[in-house]
Amino acid sequence: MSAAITFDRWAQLQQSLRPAVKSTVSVQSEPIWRVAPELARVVDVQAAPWLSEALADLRTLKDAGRNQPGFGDFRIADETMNHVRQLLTMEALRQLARPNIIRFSGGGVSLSWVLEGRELTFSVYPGDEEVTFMYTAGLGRVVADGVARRSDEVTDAVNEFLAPAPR
Amino acid sequence: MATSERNVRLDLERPPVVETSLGFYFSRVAGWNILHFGALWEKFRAKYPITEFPPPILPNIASPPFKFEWNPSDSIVPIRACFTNAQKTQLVQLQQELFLHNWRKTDATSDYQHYDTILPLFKQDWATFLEFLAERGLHRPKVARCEMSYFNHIVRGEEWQEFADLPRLFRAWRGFEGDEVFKNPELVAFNVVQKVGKGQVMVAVSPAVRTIDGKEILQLNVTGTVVPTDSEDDGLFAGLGECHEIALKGFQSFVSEESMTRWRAKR
Repeated sequence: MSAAITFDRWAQLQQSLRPAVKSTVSVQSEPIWRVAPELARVVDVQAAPWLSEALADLRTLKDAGRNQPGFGDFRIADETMNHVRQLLTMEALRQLARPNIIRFSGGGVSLSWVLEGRELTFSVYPGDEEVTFMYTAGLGRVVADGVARRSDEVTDAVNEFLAPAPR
Repeated sequence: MATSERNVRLDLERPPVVETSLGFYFSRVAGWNILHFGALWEKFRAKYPITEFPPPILPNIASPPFKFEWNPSDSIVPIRACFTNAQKTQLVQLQQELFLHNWRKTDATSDYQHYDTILPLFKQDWATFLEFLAERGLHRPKVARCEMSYFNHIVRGEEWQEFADLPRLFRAWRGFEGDEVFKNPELVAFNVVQKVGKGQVMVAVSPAVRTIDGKEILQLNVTGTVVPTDSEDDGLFAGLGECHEIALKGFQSFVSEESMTRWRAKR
């Protein structure tokens, strides 16, 4: 008699196994039923409940971007748009709430989140491949800032924002 | 996009396809365990020196006789292993219940690889897999489904602007022109499944962001499936041929004339 466990008990099985292992096993970012044999990396716009609206907001900002002499150039380049979308669809950010999306002079875009008096901001500058981040607490006190060149560095910044270490 | 040796022929100068996948889904091979993945890679390693471990696929459980199972010798999570060539364009996908060959477009090798080119590669890989099973005293798998998929990306800003443009892309979506409520939908995603001959075509349209370049796209996934009459090679490869034909027919019927013109269909 095989010890086969059918699909309808799979979730139950995973639950029962979890307490036995201390480490976290994370093998996917999408629900398993949406995983196809496709290997090209794409993120469904329904992967986060706010993602579709955030992408629309971003397009609106781009459409409204103008060069205002004496005030600033708020036009957003296509490359910057692509970079911001890459950032928005990262798994670490998809677990957060909908970000505030702000354009700033020079053609850059910032994404920010506020949680219990703390604020995390990622900024994308035109022409830069990396992302700058700043995490503040209290009255604008900078807890951490820097440049994230890889996705794990973005993830680290998000993790610190969500579960700040005692200081 | 592709050519077929039978009734259907489709040749596009600028195909939207970025990836294809073909192969077999089967009931799990009795005795297969986690160690076999590594041992099998040794047989494939010269051809496919790179390994990847993407999220596992949950095969279509509606297709009998497939059953999702877990045994004590299995890992906690199902494993999907990919053995990839050095150019990262051709690869074998292996899971306990499936064996697939994928072609994928890259910047370095962007020319579409036709079915007639991919099929011999898959046949070689399948033969290697069967040889491995025989060497290990494992039984040949009982194939439940043959499948061929085309994954297409239609880029926003290049081929469409708003979801209201979808009727220009797909015959299957007529849109809501003039409708007060649905005049400009924020998001549209839909699936269509249709029996075709002995098989079935599944078409899925969904908006996404392509992470490699950050572009917004519409994914258009077209999959042809057939339940083979037997699990011998001749029957299986005939089934794959039918899947290919079904997928092409589905694609042609699904997309608009305007899209075909844009992709420069050769008549």
